[in-house]
Amino acid sequence: MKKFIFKSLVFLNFSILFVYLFSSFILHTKIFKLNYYPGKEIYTAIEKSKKINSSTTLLIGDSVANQIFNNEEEHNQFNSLATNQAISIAGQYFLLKEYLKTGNKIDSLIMLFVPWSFKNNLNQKYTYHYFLKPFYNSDYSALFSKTVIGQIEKLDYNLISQFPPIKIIPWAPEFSATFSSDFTFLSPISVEYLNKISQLSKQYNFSVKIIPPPISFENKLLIESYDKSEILQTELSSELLEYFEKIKYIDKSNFIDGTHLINPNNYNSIINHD
Amino acid sequence: MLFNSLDFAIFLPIVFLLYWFVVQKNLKLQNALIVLASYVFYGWWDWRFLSLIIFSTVVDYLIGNRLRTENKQSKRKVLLWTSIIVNLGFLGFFKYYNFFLENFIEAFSLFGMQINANSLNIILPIGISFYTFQTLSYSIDVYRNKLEPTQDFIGFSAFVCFFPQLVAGPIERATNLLPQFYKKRTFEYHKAVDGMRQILWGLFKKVVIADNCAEFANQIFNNSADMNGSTLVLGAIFFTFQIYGDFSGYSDIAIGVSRLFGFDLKQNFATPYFSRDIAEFWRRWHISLSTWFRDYLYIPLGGSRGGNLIKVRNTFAIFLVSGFWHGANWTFIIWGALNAIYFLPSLLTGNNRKNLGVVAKGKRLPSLNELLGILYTFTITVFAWIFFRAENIEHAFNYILTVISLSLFQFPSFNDMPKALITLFLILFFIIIEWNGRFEKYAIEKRCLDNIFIIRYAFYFLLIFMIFYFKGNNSEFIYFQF
Repeated sequence: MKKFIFKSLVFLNFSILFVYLFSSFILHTKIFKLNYYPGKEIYTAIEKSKKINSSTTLLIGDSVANQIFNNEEEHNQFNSLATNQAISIAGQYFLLKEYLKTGNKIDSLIMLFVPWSFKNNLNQKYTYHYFLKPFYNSDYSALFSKTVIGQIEKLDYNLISQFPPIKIIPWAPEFSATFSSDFTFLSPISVEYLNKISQLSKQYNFSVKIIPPPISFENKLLIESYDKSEILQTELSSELLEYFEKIKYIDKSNFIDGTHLINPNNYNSIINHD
Repeated sequence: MLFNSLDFAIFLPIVFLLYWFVVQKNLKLQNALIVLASYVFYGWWDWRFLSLIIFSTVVDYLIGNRLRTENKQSKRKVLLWTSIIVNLGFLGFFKYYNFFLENFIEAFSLFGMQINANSLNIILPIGISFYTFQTLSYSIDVYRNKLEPTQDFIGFSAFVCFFPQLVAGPIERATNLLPQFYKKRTFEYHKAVDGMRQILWGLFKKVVIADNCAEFANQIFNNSADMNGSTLVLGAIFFTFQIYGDFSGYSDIAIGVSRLFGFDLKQNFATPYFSRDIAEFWRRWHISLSTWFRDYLYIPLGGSRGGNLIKVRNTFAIFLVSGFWHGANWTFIIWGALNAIYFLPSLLTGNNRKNLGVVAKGKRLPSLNELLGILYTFTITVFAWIFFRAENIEHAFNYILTVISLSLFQFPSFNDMPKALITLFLILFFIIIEWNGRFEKYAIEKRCLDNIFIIRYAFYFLLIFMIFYFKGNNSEFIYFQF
């Protein structure tokens, strides 16, 4: 009996050690970022943000932006760090900050987002996997505001998000979000980090354009119901007011799920036309 | 409590340590601990349904004891039928009430008669089909004088609710399992290690094979109207491996856990997808249920004795009841009927016991004949699974019509092609391991022991890593719904 328990414990410890070492290896070699790993585009953007690029225009955005201007591809007029709305505007700011810190010089920042991407307050089902795993580490923690930290503390198992075995698997704890009804369009985190982006634009002297991708007619009423006065809380209010004027509604048959486009390549020119 | 959950990972060592360190000297206490642990295990889902298990236990215990003293055949029959009616009554009410009600209403409406009756919002108690059959086997065996009725109520309760196999089998016969509760159990190192190994293999089958296949099977079956024929074929194959990995994985874990506590349960699966004909498949698939139906339904009906008509009747009876046992839906009945149709030719021509041994004995690979037999049996099995998985008969027929359309020759399409390819690769790995271990009670039983230490442990760690890294999202066991 004692032999069995002893050997079981030894085996268990070796299994944990093996899984840990193997996970660390996979993490180090970036094998985990295979095509099927959800959120791999975020790791691609993080890597790109740490490299020098000669383009003077930078694009950041959500998954629709990543559909149109995939961050794994080269684009003529700009460098794309488009990822996913799940990283929130805070995550977008981290990418931008890192990009500038690396020594990249830009004249213009293009932010390509569907309107509901600004609603993310790090209270989503995907926050753990898409935000916590890539950003909750020493590289970015200094950039976390109190609001961000407050939201992270609400997530179960937040302290083990950087544990290699957890980081390499698509698993995330169940999280049922409690959406605040205090805002209709801009979450507190979006307001906070849009202001930080505005401050960066002044510090590094670049312009900011906020652009919508094509939106389904189905969502027109929703967008019209947004409380536009929320925009006034930000330093980018004029850009956001223009953003709403630029929204172009198209038929719902052009969308996979009401948000993502069936033929994203047809909309490559939206930035030129802007 | 699910076997593949953190709750169970905590529960099992606690019960194990209490069992072997605290109550190990007293058999009654060991059995009482099993009863308590089993009630906790079951009550984790819904404690209210514990009353059903307890009621069933009390009824069958009392009937068993009355059968001991009762010599009059007519009264013995009444006692047996009381047990059958109580057990099947519960099963019928919880599982089939709404099905019968809806079908009666529909049948009467065909004759222009409208019946107003409301279906009930009935929750199916998990495992009811399994423990009902287990307790029934006790009453029937006592009635047949094959088993001495027990006077040890705690031991009998432990037999009825033994937590490793309570909710999804293997359905144990009283003649095999009950006596094990009377014998002093001593810890056997090799048995426990073997149990651990079987648990590991069961977890791999469930978490890696079944759960990954489930993702694609669900995606394809739920959107079959929008898919082409080749994708639907792959969907049926994914489901084929999902149900096997899920159910045989559960059985492996159940058997392995039982061995940790000193119990031997029956083998429930014996590499069924390597069967060379459908009769062999049914000797290798869900063995505990097939043999239950054979012994308590097929043989009492006359079995394969008598004329061809009797054989046909009995074969249909056993397969239709087996289909219906799986659920209150016509799809299960059609699935049962299809298997009866598959099975009958070999029975009527006397070829049903042609392939009794393990395929390719003494050889590394099967002969061409064996391979063709395996492929044919696998294909018709996959076809039957379409009915088993479909939402209703219309869904199944539409699915099949798309499979046999020209779109069969289009390239399969998945939302996530890389993951689909990885899942197919995992299935291939699984098939290779199963093929190598086809002579054993479970695929890695002996094969691993033959290897040298380093390779053996490297293989265990590989399985652990795959369980961790390729864990699928689905966590419920399919057979819980039956």
